[in-house]
Amino acid sequence: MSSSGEPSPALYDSGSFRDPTSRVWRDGDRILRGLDETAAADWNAAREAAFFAAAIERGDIVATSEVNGASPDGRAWTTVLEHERIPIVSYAHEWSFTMLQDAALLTLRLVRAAIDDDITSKDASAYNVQFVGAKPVFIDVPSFEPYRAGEAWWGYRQFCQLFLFPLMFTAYKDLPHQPWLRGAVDGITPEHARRVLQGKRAGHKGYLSHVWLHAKADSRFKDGSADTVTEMKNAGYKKELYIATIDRLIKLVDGLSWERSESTWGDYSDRGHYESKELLLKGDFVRRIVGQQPRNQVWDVGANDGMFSRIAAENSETVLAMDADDLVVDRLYRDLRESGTTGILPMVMNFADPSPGIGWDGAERPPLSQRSSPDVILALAVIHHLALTHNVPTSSILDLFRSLGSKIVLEVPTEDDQMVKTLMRHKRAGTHDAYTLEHIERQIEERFDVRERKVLPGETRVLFHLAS
Amino acid sequence: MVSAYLDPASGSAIISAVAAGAAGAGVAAKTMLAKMRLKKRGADADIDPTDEAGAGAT
Repeated sequence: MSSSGEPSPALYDSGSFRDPTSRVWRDGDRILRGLDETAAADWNAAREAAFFAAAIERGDIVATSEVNGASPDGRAWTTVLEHERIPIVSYAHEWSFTMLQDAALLTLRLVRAAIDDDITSKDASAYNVQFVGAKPVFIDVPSFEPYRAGEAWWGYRQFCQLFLFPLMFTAYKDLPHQPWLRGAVDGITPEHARRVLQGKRAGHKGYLSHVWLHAKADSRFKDGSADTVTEMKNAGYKKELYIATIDRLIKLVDGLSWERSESTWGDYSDRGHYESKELLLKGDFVRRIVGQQPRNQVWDVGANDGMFSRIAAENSETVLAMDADDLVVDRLYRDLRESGTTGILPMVMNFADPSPGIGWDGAERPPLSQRSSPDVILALAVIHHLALTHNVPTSSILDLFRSLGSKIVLEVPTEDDQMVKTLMRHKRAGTHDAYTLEHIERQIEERFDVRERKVLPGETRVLFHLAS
Repeated sequence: MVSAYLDPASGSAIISAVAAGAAGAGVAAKTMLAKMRLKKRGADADIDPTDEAGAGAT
């Protein structure tokens, strides 16, 4: 512990410092959380409330128990909690529209249920929610505290910045929310939302109060005056208004929809460029490699409709199904949600430009490589897109795969492949002459132990099983 | 008691009342008026009555 009595930052989870009443740390595979006296009192109030037990039962709040655990810096926390581990941590800038919408609705419904037990939430960050497969789970248990008569919902501003405005961007403007949230850990300010959403279509639901008035009030009442609570109480603010705010937000968020139906890879699941026999052989190849032993985590890079993620999930705890196309990830998420599949986590991720660390010191929300360690990487029909669309040298692609230390299932479309020819057509002549099977295979052999090589029936695609 | 760790942004708190509907809008309007009155009173108090130029000019 530091001489000031503060927890030593380096020993705790880099994302748990904002609320000074509690900190998270890891002990091996265990996720532990220390609560100070204030947070412990809030925890006791929340866990005795009916809404909390019901939410735990449904799996809406992460399973949590009190334990005896030593903190990493010897600090004597009043209470130590242990949370069930989330297989792969993901962030709102990696979620599709419907994932963000479901996380927002989970937050609001928990807040709504809590207030019936006189419990409120002191924040409403999108980072309070995680996904286990296609199920959102609320993880920030110390968010709950007893409601004090006359107080508005503290989490409102954060909810707008990290949930409502990003959802409105996509629903009303067809703007993907991911780059905005990746660009600012605190989300979109009311003023920025106003500037983007204003215009002819500003009459959309929720715009006037949550965006326009919010931005105006923000600029008019810039001071963070705690007196506002007293002033609102004096003006007649009551619990009924708190409830009405949440109820109307639930209706608004639930009614938002994203109409876009076309995207670069939106029709890929037709897979017209594959013969069905090739798909079956690819599926068998993946099943055999992944199935050689029980796997913890598998990455499916360029997962699209999740066909091979589902096969990999037969023998792994979690498959991270990542794709740069937010529409196909959204479709996959909705399919998985409907089928109740929990072993596949969909993620909007451009492998050529993966999530960096964001927030304080670039470490508050760390990059994917620090959150997940795959046993197997499926890189099926992705190398040509990285090499030809994003101009990443094939040697760099292979070096990156090798650095992850995993088994790799790699599909290399040859220079005679139809998709490769299509991608090449948009390129200046001569810039990608090195993209040949012979050249790539030589690079593979320099870096990997080639366990298996299989040419697919069309003879323009080759599968490799690689080990470092 | 105020124990939440987030800054109590006044504008957002007031607008959360507006989001509750008509009754909340009334509360928000009263709160805004109260804040503006307080602000005006604060500004008036800043004026030095001995300053003949008025308006606190220096």
